[in-house]
Amino acid sequence: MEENSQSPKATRGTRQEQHLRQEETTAQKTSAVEFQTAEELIRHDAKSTPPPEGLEKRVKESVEREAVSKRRWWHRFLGC
Amino acid sequence: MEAVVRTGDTNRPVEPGTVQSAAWDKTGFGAVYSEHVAAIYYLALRMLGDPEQAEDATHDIFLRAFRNYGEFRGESAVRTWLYRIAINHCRNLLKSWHSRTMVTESDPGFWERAATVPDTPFRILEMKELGQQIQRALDMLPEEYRLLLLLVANEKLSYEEVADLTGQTIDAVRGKLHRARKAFAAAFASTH
Repeated sequence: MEENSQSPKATRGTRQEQHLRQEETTAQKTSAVEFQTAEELIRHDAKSTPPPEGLEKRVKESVEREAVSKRRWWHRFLGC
Repeated sequence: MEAVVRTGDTNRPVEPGTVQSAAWDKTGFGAVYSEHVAAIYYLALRMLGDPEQAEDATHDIFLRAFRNYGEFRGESAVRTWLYRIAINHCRNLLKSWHSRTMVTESDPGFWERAATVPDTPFRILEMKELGQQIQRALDMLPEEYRLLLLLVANEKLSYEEVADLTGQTIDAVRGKLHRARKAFAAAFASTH
């Protein structure tokens, strides 16, 4: 009864929505990406997983601090 | 050398030409970092399963590498040398945590399913949560299989290097890889 109470415009709208959903589903199916092996899948994941932006700064600062502790040895070695 | 004097990405002022700022570039370690950080971070991420822990681990791995960089004789490729440090570090962290729940070979149901999974391609419709799905699947595998898949997935590592890193023969790597693929496929299917 509810369906009958809908206006033709509303029914057309619902059909259009259904049609759009079907199209989206079809598009999703056709745009599915296939990976032949687990390694291929993991490789793809690795390529799309960059290291955090702040990591280089952290490592660089730690390396610099580490180098400071060796500095005196370097100076003695280089004679400066 | 721009990076020697550049201090914009650090909050600490560094005098141009000082030994400490030169260490990154003059030793060549900066280049080593740039070339390998993505692979090492990804390995740590998927072994540990946590982005923050992986970031900390990657930092510690490279710092440890820098400390020993002077002793690196080049008998192996830098890549495998770094991987060895990374694997040991992640293993030690995992051992100390004891909090992760993983399916092991003692779960017969899982392995029965794994053995029957046909060799069909992975068809991915939704890429958005792919990383989480892969992580869940890897978490279900024994550490040996997880590590094997992660290493073999790196195209720059040869089977010989993977065998060396995992302490087994190339034939053993090939055999275990087959089982690891099956196990991963079953685990991945169960994450849907």
